[in-house]
Amino acid sequence: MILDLLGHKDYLRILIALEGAPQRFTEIQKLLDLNPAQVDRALTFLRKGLWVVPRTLPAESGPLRVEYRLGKRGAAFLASFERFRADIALQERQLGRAEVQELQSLSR
Amino acid sequence: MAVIFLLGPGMWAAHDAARPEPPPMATRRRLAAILNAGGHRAFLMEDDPDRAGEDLIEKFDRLLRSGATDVLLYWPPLAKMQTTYDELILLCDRKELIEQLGIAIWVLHHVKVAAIAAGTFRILEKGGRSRYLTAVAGLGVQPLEWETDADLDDRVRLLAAELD
Repeated sequence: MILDLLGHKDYLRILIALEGAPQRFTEIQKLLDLNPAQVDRALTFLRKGLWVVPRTLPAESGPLRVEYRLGKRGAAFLASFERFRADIALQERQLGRAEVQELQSLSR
Repeated sequence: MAVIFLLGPGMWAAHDAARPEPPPMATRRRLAAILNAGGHRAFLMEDDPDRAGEDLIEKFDRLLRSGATDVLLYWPPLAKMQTTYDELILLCDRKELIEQLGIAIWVLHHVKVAAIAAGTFRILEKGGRSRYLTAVAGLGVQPLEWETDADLDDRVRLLAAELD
């Protein structure tokens, strides 16, 4: 599962986006400029592994909207990923600038 | 350590009573064992001895107030839900108490029971079966979906790691 997470930039970007505060589906979509199918696919994966935790927003009636927060697994993964990202920046000469910049482009 | 009040059905619906899988009560006990192995204390209302003169509502309240940090509702398809509906009504009636005590509600639902699509939680159960889950979901719940027994156990193991 961790390799799936590392292999999908959208999944990582959503985890990073949830670090600050919980977000709703449409907020994630707008923030990261993703289409609904991309967000849906990513959130389905992230929910299944409890990388993120969904919560229905209290409502007396009408649609039950869901917001997502970072789960403990997601937070633990990001802490490890951040150390990896910081370390890889020190290896730019060997790895190549473009490769390092690709990782740095995942905004935090 | 979380203290988890594990709700849900005990039996399959009458027309499905012959199905080979263990009854929902056995599954809930299995889930409680997984949570307990994860360092928490999970309990079923049915396993807590009745106290003299205590009715169902008083017992529910006693257990809810006994330090519960989380309520976990196990919702398989095709189970006999009448007792669970009663428990869900009790939960809805105690909305303020639940907020006051900071109790989190988790709904462990089968994929045929409910789904999250495009940021909305939708109940897939039909008619009366959907009413109570809809009401509880309106309290603000954390839904976790599962499809197979292996999937269910895996999700509960992950939940054990998520809980404080």
